[in-house]
Amino acid sequence: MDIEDVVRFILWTTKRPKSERKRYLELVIWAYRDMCLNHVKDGIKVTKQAPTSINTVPFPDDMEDFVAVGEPVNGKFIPYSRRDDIIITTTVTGSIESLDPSDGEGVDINDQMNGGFSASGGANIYGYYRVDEENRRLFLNKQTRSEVILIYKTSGVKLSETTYVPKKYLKAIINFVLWQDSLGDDNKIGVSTQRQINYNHAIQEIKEREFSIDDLMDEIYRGNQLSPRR
Amino acid sequence: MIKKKIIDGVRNIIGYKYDRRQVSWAIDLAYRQYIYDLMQMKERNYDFLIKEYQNQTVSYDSTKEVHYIDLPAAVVGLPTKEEGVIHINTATGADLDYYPMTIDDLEYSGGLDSSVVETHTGYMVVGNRIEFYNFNSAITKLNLDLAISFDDFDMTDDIVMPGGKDYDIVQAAINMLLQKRPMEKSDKYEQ
Repeated sequence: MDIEDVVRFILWTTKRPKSERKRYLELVIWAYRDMCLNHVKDGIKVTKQAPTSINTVPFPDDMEDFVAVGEPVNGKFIPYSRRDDIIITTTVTGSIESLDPSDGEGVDINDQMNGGFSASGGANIYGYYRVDEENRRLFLNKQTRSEVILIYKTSGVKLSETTYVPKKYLKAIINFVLWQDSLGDDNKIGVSTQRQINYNHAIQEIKEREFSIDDLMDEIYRGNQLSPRR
Repeated sequence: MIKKKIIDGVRNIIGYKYDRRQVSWAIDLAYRQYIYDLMQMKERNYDFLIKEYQNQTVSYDSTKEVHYIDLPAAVVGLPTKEEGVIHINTATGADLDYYPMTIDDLEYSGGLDSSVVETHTGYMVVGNRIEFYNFNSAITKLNLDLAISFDDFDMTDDIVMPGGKDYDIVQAAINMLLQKRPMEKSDKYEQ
């Protein structure tokens, strides 16, 4: 459903005047963004990025939250390991950044572990990164390829083309919009609380519907050993 | 009922010595009061107030860099964002492509995602014209549905007197007129 049709649907079914259209569009965008970032799997983007000359990957403009960076190995995505001790300073001459090895900038981390890439979260010989939040970029270290795979969350809202919202999210979006609409009006404190509860219920319904058997098994394996307890 | 018949109906009650323009003005005052009362109702339907103006030409103001249409008639000053411009449509049909807005909407939403994402056009009444924002410059003509006052309808226009309120409107007009002497032919009618 076109996101602008979602606005039209809400205005009509809640008997709001069409003069509220612009404000409600902003609320619907906010609602969908909140769902994509925090509750549902929509809005996850997987892209190939070429590191810069100083071995960084800038955050894309539509990136709202970082998920993972890695490279393909035998057809599978292998994420890099996060290392917060990677040096992320650069040497600036004029306006050009470079890496000075004497300051530890860009020097390969040399951990002596078993060869190649290991499982997610493990320590590798290859593939490390550190997030430079202030400059909105990743510093890479010892990657093996000229292009890396970057996985991140977007708001789900496309700025240069039509955004389509799954109809299964409509109930949650409407409740979010009505909840936010009643904030700022002291006479509607009770109403806004109820609407927040309605929104949380709608989100819970979505999560229960989207929770698969695989997700359930992952949760079980996360904290349990396969061997029986006696 | 056409406007002339409504006026003549009132003159039939209070006497034909009252000029049509005088009677129209009195009915107009009562009619505006009814519109104001209508505004207080939660669910409002303005459709019966509408007069359609078709194929109005869209112009471009290069100073303000906005597209606009000059109002073909004075609108009733409604205290809502519509301000008397009830609907704007292209010639091919009715939809929500055009919606009323205010300067505040424009200022608050500047730079936000909604200003980038939306494909619809906002309009606001500025002085005696309608200005558009996020306008499709390929469109050169638009149809306007305006809420105009009773006095501004043509004598041959069909006016829908609101059901259940027609008596009140006519009675209010009569009460006003009876407090005034009828216009003499030598009296000038100031527009």
